[in-house]
Amino acid sequence: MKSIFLVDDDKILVYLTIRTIKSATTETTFKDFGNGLEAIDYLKSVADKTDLLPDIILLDLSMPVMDGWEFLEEYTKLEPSIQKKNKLYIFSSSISPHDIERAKNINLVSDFIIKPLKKDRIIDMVNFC
Amino acid sequence: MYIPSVQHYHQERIEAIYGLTIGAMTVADSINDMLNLAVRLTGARGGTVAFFNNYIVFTGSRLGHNYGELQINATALPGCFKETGILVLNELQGGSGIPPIFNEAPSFSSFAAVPLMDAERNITGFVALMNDAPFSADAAASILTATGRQINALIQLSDKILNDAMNQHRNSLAQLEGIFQNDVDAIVITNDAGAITYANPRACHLLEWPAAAITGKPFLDTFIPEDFRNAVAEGRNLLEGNSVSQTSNPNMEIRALTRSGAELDVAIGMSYLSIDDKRYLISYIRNITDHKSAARKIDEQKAFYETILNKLPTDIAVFDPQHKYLFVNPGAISDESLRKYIVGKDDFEYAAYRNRSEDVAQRRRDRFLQAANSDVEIKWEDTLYDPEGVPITHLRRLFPVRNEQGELLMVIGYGIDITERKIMENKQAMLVKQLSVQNTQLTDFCNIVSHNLRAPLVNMSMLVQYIEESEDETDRMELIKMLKPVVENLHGTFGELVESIQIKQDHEVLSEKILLADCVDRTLKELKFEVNKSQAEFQVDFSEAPAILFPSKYLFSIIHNLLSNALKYQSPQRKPLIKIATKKVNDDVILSVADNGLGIDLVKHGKNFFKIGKVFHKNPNAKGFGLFMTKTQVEAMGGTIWVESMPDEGSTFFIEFKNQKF
Repeated sequence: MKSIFLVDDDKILVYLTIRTIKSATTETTFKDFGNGLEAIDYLKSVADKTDLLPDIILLDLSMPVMDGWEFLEEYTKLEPSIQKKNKLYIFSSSISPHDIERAKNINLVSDFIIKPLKKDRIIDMVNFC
Repeated sequence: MYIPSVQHYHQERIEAIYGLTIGAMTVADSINDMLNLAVRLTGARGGTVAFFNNYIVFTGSRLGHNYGELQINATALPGCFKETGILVLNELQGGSGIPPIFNEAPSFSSFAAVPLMDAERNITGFVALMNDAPFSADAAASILTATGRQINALIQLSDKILNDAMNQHRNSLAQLEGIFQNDVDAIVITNDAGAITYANPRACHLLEWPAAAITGKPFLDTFIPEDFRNAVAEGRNLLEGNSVSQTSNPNMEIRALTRSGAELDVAIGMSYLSIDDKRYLISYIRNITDHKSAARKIDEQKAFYETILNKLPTDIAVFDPQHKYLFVNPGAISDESLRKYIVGKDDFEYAAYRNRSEDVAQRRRDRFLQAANSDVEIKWEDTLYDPEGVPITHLRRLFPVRNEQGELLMVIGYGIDITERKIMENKQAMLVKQLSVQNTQLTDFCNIVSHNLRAPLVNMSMLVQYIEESEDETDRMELIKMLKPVVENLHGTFGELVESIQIKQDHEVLSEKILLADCVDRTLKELKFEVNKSQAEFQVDFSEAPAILFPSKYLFSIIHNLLSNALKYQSPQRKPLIKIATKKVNDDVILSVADNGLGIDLVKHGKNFFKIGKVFHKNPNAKGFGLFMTKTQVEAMGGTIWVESMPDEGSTFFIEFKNQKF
C-alpha cells in the first residue's frame, strides 16, 4: 500500500482527486491537510514513524496560513529528520511558467503536476515510488 | 604820379613800435608828441595815427576830442590821396554822402590826412586830424605833411632797428630749426597764436604736407581731429600753468589728421621755448599707429574671448592656486559690480561681503583642494534652491591647470544647469518604478488567471466528467450539489478580477471631495449583517481631516475592504473594537483603521503582504483579493499603504493620501 498525502485547501478538489486515484489503483491510502502548516505539524510529529509517513506528497501552491512555497521552505529544514524517503509533487491549477520554473529549482520537488490529475499519470506516480 | 599800395603791418611790428625805445622815449611816445604838436598847430580838435593791419585800421594814437573808432575802408585808401599826397574832407555832415574812405558816417565834420610810407613808398598808414570846423587846406597841408614826414622818418628808423631785431630772432629760430631738421621725431613749432612757424621734414612727411604750405597753418585746427583738440589744448594749458619754459609734458596718445584726411595714432609731447622773449611751443610727434593697431588687435582678441566666456550659458570661474577668483563670467555672477568685487577675493570674503553663511564657502574650498591636489578634473552634482524653493541642479566640474613642472597655475571651474535633465531623470526613475510595479501586477494577474480562475474550472470539468460517468443516482446528486459552490467561487473570483482590471484601465479617474463620515456610514450599512453579528464597536475621529480628495469608487472600495477585513479577522476571545481616524501631515492625509483582531505575523508574511491571492487566516471567506485591490487603488493615485500588526493583538492599516490641499 502506498500512502499519499494531499496538502490542499480545496475540499472539492481533494475529494475528486482521491476519487480519481482510487479509480486507477486500489493500492493507496490517503491523508489530506487544509494548509501547509497542518501538514508540517503532522510530519514533525511522525518524523521517525515510518509507518505513518507518506510515499507521495501532492502539494498545492495557493493555500491560506501557509502556502505551498512556505511549506517547501519549512519542509527543506525538516526533511533530513524524516525517516522515510518520499516523492513530492507540486499539484497546482497554476499554468504560470514562473511557478513551474521556480518549482524545478527546488531539489525536493520531483515534478510539477498541473490539475486535474490524469489516470495514466497516477499509475506512473505510484509505480515509481 | 604814383599809385601807392598798402603795406600791411604785422601785429608784431606794431607791438614793436610800442616796445622799441630810441633815445629816452619809445617810438609811440615820440609819435604821440608829434601828433600833439600837429593838433595844436592846426587848431584841430583831435588827431590819430593809423597803421594797417590786415585791412583793419589800427588807431595808434588819439588826441583831444574822442570821435570814437574810425571806420576806415583801407582798400579805398590809396586812391584817396592825390598827387599832393594829402586828403582834405570838409563838411562831412552836410548830407553829400559818405566818402569812400569811411565805412560809416564819421562823427566829425572835417578830416585831413597824409599817408605814411615805407622806403619803397608803400602806404603803411596815415596821420589824420579831425575837426568840427573846416580845415584851411594849405595850413593843414603844410603841418600834416611836415608831421607825416617826421613820423615816416621815425618809423623808417624804427623799422630798421626792428628788422635787425627780427633778423636776429629769425636766426635763433633757424638755428633751432636746424637742430630739429634731422630729428627722428616729427617736430612742429608753433607761435603763441598757435600758427605753425616750422615743421621738420619728418613732420611734413608724417602729416603729408609740403614744408612751404605748412607754415602759417593753425596747428590744432589743421592737424588735430576735433575730438582731440580739447585734450591737446588742455595739455598745453597745463604746461603753461607750470610756467617753466622748457619742461616737457608727458606724452599724450591722440590722433593726428593728415592732409589726405587719414587719422594716425600719435603720441605727442609738448614743451615751451622762449627765444628773445618770444614764446614758442615745440610739439614732438611720434607715429604709434603700428604699436596702437597691435594693441587694438590684442584688445579685440581679448574682447572676442571675453564675449565667448560671457555669453556661454554655463557659469565659469577661474581661481588662482590660493583659491582666489581670477575671473567669473555673468553666468556665475550676473551682477556686474559683484563680479568686479570678487576678483582677487575668495569665497569666504565673498560670503562675508554678502552676509551669507560660510558653509557654501567651506564646501567650495573642500572641492577646490580636492581638484588642486588632483591631476584630473573632478565633477559633482550640486542642487540649490531658488527663493521659491524650486531645486536647481548644476553639474559642476573643476579642473587643475599645471605648467610643465607640474606647478598649479590655476583651477578652472564651470557648471551647467542640468535642472531639466534632472527632472527628466527623476521622471524616468519614477516611470521605471511605476513600470516595475505594473510588471509585478501583471505577473499577479497572470497567476490569478491561471490559478484562481483555473482552479474552479478544473473542479467543474472533473465534476462534470464524474457526473457523466456515474451510474449511481445518489452519487450523481452528490456531485451536482458540489457544483454549486464551485460555480459561486468562479463567479466571485471573476467579479473581483473584472473590478481590479477596471482600476488599471481607469488611468485618469476623477478625484472628488468625499466626506469620510458619509463613506464609513454607507460601508457600515453594507456590512450591517457582519456588524450586528459581531456586535463590533466603532470609534471614529475625522476631526483633523474630515474629507479626502479621491476617486469615490476607489475610496468606497478601500474603506469597505479595510472594515470588512477588520470584522472578518476578529478575535474569538473579544468583542471587536475598530478605530478609524485621519491625521494631516503637510499636504497629505493619513487614514488609519485599527482593530483588536487576530493580527498578522509580519515577520513571516511581510514581503508578500499585499500580494494577490494571499490569505493569512484559515477563514472560509478569505480569497486574498481585498488587500491587493486596496493597494492597487491607493497606488494608482500615488499614495502608499502599510500595516502594523502583532499576532493576537490586532492590526492597524495606514493609507497615505497624497496632495490633499483643497
